[in-house]
Amino acid sequence: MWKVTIEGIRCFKTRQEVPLAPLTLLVGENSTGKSTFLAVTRILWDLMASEVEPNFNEEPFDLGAFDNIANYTGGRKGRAKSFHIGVEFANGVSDETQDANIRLLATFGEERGQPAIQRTIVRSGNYRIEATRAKEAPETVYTVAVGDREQRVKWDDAKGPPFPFALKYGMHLFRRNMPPGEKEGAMLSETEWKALQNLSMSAFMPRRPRPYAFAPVRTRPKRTYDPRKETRRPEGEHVPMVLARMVSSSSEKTAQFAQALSRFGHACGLFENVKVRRLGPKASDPFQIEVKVWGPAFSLVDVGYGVSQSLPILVDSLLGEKGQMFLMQQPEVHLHPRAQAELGTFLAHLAKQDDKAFLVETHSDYLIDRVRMDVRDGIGLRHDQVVILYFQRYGTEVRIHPLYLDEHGNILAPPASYRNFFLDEERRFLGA
Amino acid sequence: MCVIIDANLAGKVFATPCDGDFKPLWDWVFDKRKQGCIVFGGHLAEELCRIRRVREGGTRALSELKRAGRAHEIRKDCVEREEDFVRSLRNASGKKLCKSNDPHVVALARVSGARVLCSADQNLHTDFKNLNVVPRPKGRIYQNATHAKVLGHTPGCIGRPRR
Repeated sequence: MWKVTIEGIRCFKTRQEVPLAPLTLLVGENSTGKSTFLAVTRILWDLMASEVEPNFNEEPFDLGAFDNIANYTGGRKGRAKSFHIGVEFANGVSDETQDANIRLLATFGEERGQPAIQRTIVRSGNYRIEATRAKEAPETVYTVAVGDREQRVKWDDAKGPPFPFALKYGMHLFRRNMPPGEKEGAMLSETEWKALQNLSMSAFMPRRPRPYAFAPVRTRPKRTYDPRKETRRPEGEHVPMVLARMVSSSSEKTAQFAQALSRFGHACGLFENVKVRRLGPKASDPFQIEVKVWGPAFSLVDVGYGVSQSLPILVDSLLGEKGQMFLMQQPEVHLHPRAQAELGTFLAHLAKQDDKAFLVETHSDYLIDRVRMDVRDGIGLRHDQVVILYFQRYGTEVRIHPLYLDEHGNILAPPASYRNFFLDEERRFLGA
Repeated sequence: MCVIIDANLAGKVFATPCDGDFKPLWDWVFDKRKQGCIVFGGHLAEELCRIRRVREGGTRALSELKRAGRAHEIRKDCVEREEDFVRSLRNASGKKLCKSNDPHVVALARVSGARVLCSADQNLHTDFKNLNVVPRPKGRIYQNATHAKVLGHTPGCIGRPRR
C-alpha cells in the first residue's frame, strides 16, 4: 500500500511518513488533522492521475486557501512559505534498474492566495525526474537524473501540457524538447532513458480508481424521492436513485448486492432488507425507500436515523470498483454499538474480498475492537493488513503514530499516551 | 514487563474499591510513565470471566487496558498448543516437570514472555521459578504490596508499551 508523506500542512509541521493498509483506522482527539489527512490522500491520487491542479476544497473536504493550509506556528517564523505532500508506492514496472518503490513528492507554494504546485519530484533508486516551475511562469524546468548525472530542459507551458503534468507524458516529450546539441552529447545511455521512461509512466499511471470520500454527516431521509440523475455525492443524495435502479434490475450483481446489504442489516439488527416502492407506473414517477425491520416495511423516515446514515456508506462501498479506496469520516454516526461493530466486519470483508482500501476516521471502540477480534480469529484481514493511525497533539503540532497489530489482535508498542483519557476514567470508575 | 493474574487472586486484584495489596499493580499498569502490561488468554481468560468480581468491573478494565495496548491476549490455540508441550516436559528420571495443576498459566508465560505471576498457588510458584519449566529470565511472584519491586521485571515481554 501507499506511504504518505506530509509536511508543513495545517497541524503537521515536521515531515512525517505514514503507512496505509487495506484497512487504516484514524483515531485521535478532535482537531488533530484526521480529516486533513484524508483530504491529502485524495489529492495525492489527483497528483498522480489528473491533469488539473489538485483542489483542496473539493467536497466533502474544505481546507481553505493557502493561509488556511500552510502550517502556522506563530512567533517569528509565522506561516510556512510552502508545504509538501508525497506518496511512496510499489513500482508496477519490472525493471531491474529501478527500486521496488517509487516516491513522488510535491511542493506547494502560494499563488494568488491559493496553493499551487511549485515542484514535483519522482524518484526510484538512482533515477529522478523533477519539474520545477520557473519564477517567470509559464516556464517549467524539467530535470532528469541518474545518480549525479543530470540533464535539464526548459519547457514553455503554453506549447503543451502545463506544469507539472507534462511529466506523465513520458520522456519522449522531454527528449523532443532538448536542444539539438545536448541531444547529441547526451550524458545518459539508452538504457537509462528507458528506465526514466518507465519511471514516469509508472509514477503517473494510477493503479487504483480515484478515492471516494464520504461526508461525515449523510443526507436526511425523505418520505418520497423524485427520480434524478445518479450523481455521486459525498452526502449520499444519489443513494435512493441507486437503490431504485438496483432493485428494478435482475442481474447477478444486483442479487449479490441485495444479499450483502441484507446480511449486514440482519447481523446488526438494523434491517432485514431494503425495498423500493414505486408510486406510479412510469420510471419518472416518485418512489419510496422502505426498510423491513420487523413486521411490515417502513419508510426510511419512520425508522431510526442510523439506517439512513449508514445506507450511503453500505451502498457506495459495495458498488465501488475493485481496488478503490474509500475515505470515511465517522461512519459510525447514529449507529448502535452492535451496528458499529458489524461495520468493522463489513469493511474488513470488502477490503479482503474486493481488494478495496478503507481509510476510516473513527471514534468507535466497537468498530476497532471488532476488527481486532476478526484479525485474532482469522476471519477478517491479516494482522499486517490493518494499521491504526493515532493522531497525537504536541502543543501546536500533531504527530501520527502508526500502531500495528500482532496475529492475536493485540496493539504492538503503543506510545505511552495512547488512550490515557480512557484509562484514567476507567481507573477512577474502578476506584483503584 | 508483563504480569499474569491467576484466577485464585483475581477476585482480590479486581476488587472495588482497590485492595491495598494490589494498588502498586494497578499503578504500574495504568500509569503512563510505567510500562505495565497484563497478559491473559486461553483457559485462564475463561477462568477469569467466571469470577464474579472480574465480571462486575474487571472485564471492563481489562477491555480498556486491551484497547490501550496494556493488556495482551494470547490466542487460545497458541496457549493450548504450548500447554500440551508443558504437560509433556519430563526430567531425567521421567517425572513430570510441571508440578501444578495450572499448566495453562505456565504455557501462557512461555508463549507471551511474561515473567511476573500474581498467584497464591505454591505449586505454581515452584513451576514459575523453575528454569526448566519457564525459561530465563527467571519468573517472579507478586502477592502483596511488599512485592512491588518485582513489577518492571523482564523488559523483553511482547506487550511492552513504548515510552
